[in-house]
Amino acid sequence: MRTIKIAEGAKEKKMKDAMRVLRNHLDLQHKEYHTIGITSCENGTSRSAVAFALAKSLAIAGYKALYLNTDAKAGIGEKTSDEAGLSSFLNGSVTIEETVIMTNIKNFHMIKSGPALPELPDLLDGEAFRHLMETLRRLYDYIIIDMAPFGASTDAFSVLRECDATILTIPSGAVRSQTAKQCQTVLQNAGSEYLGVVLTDSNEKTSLPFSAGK
Amino acid sequence: MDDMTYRETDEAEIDLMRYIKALCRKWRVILLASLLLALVMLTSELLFVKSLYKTTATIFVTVREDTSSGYTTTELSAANSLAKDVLEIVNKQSVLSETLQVMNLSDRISDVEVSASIKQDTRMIEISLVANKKEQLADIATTYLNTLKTRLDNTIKKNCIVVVDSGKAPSGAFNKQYKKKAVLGFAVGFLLACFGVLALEVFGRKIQTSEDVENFLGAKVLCVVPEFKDKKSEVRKALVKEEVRRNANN
Repeated sequence: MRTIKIAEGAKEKKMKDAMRVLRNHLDLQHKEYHTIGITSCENGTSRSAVAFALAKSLAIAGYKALYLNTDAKAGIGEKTSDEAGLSSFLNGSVTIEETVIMTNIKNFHMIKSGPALPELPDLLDGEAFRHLMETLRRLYDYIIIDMAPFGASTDAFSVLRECDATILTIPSGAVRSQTAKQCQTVLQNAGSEYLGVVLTDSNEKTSLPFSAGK
Repeated sequence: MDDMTYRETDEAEIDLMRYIKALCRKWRVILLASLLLALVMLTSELLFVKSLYKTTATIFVTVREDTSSGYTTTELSAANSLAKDVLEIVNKQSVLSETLQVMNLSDRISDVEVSASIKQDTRMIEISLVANKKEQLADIATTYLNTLKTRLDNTIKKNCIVVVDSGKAPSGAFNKQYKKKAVLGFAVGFLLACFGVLALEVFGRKIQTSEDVENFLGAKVLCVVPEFKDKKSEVRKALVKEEVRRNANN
């Protein structure tokens, strides 16, 4: 199993408070969610950063957490496209042990998306992905899935089936209300629990989802 | 069921408030659009609408010269018929041509128009003269009435009309309604701007705040991630801080 060191950048530091609030939301839910899908309507929404930071935050809180990137076009640490990842596992070129990456943070593992294969949507629909998710569910308390945006590809629809709950990330001032509503409707009708919205790139002064004095 | 009705009403109220808020937020745009359209209407009225001037004369049709005693039914009926005959003659272009000829203004024949109508249930005929120049319009009206009187004396009956009002010189163009057009332009601009703002609110509004998420999507905001500023500027700030600290230590 490979191990990487995760450096904490300024962005991650800024996200800490927000992730604590988000984690508390999950703790307050009286249901057990093992797989939480994080998606968006469009690209460039800090979706991957939120998914990664949430998984890390859960690991720091003592849960066994995995960050699973299913979006071959984006994600955390996806600089080299030929690196083994989810797509390599799904097409049978690597084992699960070679796919999972350990980090310097205790209980925090990650799986990168791997090479962008044209057959990835079919692979995500296949049995191998279902089996992988079953195995991962047994190994981790939380699997945070970084899903492709709805507007960019159909991959997200295949992954939705494997999610117990979903979260929609919306960057402030970038998504039309109609588009966001359509994405939300898809998530609400997907069969998994739709938890709500994480508003990113916001100039609101608090990480809490309400303003002081309201 | 009651709960459902309550919730539906509540939702409608929230939506209405949202639209009112959007209109209040964009009051400057609405005002600007209203003023702009009022200005456009005023300019078009000023530049493209041809000025027309009007004077109105009134004549009374009578069957007898002595009006000291009342009319009999037969006389009234005859006067009504006579008024119709007079109206026919008034509407003929020849009286106007003759008038302009008398005044040596034959070249203005295409600029002057005449129209007439009988006032309901009376024997009063209102004769309107419309021209694109206001000069001499009152004189034209006076001469017109004289020409008409002569024509009627020769054709129908002597002294069958009495001039009630010979028509005044117009003070301004009657078809230029600046105030009305400005108000109309303002109102249309206001409505269009409101419509635009509301359409933008419904179809094109972008989600900015957690309040927007709650209002537009009705979804729970789990958390708010603050905006991350440019990395380079962060580094620059850190370097400046470090420099300040070093200088302070030295």
